[in-house]
Amino acid sequence: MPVRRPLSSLFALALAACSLPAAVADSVLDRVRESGVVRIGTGNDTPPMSYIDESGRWVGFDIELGNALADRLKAKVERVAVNNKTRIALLANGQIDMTVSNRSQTRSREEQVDYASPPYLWTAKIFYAKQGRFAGIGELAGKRIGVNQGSNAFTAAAQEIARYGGEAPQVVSFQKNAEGMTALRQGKIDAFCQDSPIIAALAGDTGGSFAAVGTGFSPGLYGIGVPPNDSKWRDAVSFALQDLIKDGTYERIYLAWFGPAGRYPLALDARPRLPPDAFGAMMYVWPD
Amino acid sequence: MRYEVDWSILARPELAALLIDGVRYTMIVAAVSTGVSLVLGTALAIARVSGSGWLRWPAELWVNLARHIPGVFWVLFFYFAFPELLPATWGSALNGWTSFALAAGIVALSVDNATYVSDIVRTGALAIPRGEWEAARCCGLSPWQQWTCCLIPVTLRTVTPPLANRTIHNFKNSSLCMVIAVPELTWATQQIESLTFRGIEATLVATLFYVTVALALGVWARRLERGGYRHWRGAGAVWRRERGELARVDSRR
Repeated sequence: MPVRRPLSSLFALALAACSLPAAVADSVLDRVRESGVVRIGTGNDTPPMSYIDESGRWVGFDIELGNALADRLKAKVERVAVNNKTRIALLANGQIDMTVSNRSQTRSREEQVDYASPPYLWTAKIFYAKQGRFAGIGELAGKRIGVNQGSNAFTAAAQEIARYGGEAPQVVSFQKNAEGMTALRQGKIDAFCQDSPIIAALAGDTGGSFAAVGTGFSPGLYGIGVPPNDSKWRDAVSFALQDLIKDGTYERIYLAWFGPAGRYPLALDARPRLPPDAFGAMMYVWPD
Repeated sequence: MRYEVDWSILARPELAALLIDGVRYTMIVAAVSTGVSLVLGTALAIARVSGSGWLRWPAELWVNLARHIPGVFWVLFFYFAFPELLPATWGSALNGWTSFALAAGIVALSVDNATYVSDIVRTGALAIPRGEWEAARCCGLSPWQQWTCCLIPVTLRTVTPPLANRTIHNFKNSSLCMVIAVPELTWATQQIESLTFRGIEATLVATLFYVTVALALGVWARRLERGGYRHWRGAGAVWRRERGELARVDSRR
């Protein structure tokens, strides 16, 4: 049975450390059907993906997508706040049933947990700095680059700058995006590196004095994380997500947040779609 | 669902380097801030027990205000807010300084710890019998000499156990600097967790380090309490004779 409370998970860890055999887990699907509750891990400080607004409500693209998925699965949402560092561990330990938390699929993450299909948003990493200060990414060599601890920008930013040669940057990891942005405004770091949609939201309140340096790099695809080795549950989540794509719910949520008239319009369409000249740019879902 | 502990990740050079660097930063932050706060805290304590109201009241006010403020506030304050309070050129010079986070962390912990050190030293100073204060004065020492040669050494000896506790506390507080991206040991364990999704291994090693250093500090404090401070010489020796005299007089009464 999956572990439900943080305290008991500590005991579970202690047991694991003693190499005692753990109970064989049923599928999360059975538990969700039985209890009618799905535990979704989301961030709470990452506009526009998932955050708590001024009136204390959970809002964001990921929040709405998670709610729609829960509706599809005929379950109520139990929201668990996760951050970039805890979201994998909580999934792997079975303390949450899925993450909808702006998480790119990476090989190292795939080794720990699984992802539902298809990925729901493509993103690029962007360096964000004072307007006009840097002509290109190459000029960031040896500079102080802020990232959010737990984001794979830590690795990607240094790799990208290394491609242009020159001195390695000093990568500074903050606990929150907002702290990184404050540090950027104050000149404590020379650039901040984060995913394109998150930068779009962070850029919203800087009044145009900051801009992207060069073009986006290190493309990534956000995917819904599920606990490892539970294909029954992974399929259920994948089917639910694909149903949302087919019935237009996904489209509605996307346009509300990132469409031309949305809250944070993205210059490039972030929906992972098939080539426009072959399939009319439809999103791919598994055929029946 | 089970967590398979995998110690081999700590052997990966880039991760081991994070831990080693973390230890280095933790030791720098802890050692410098403890040193500064001992001096600052003792100065505050002297100001608080000294006769002059001009010294006493500001010190009293400061300590009573500062000891109700969480350490993490000071860390965030000195890193984010302090440069904004300075003239623009100074502020941007600080912000542009590569080691500013480290410096802000050290200053923050020094201010935080000094408050408690001052309370401890003050208590110790007030515990010195009135007669001994007078003896120090009678030796013809200047106020500075009275403090540095006589009262501080005796006080420090009395308050070594609580000061050692405070030092251990401050050592552990060095982990607060992770919130301003100082790559100290706790930050390093978080970084390793975010790179490998395995937090338990690095955290256990870090905990072991904190416990070992704290235990060593405790042992050292115990030895200091038993036999330390013998090296304080000079004018204090006269006073020590006087104190001995006084104690004998007292016992005869």
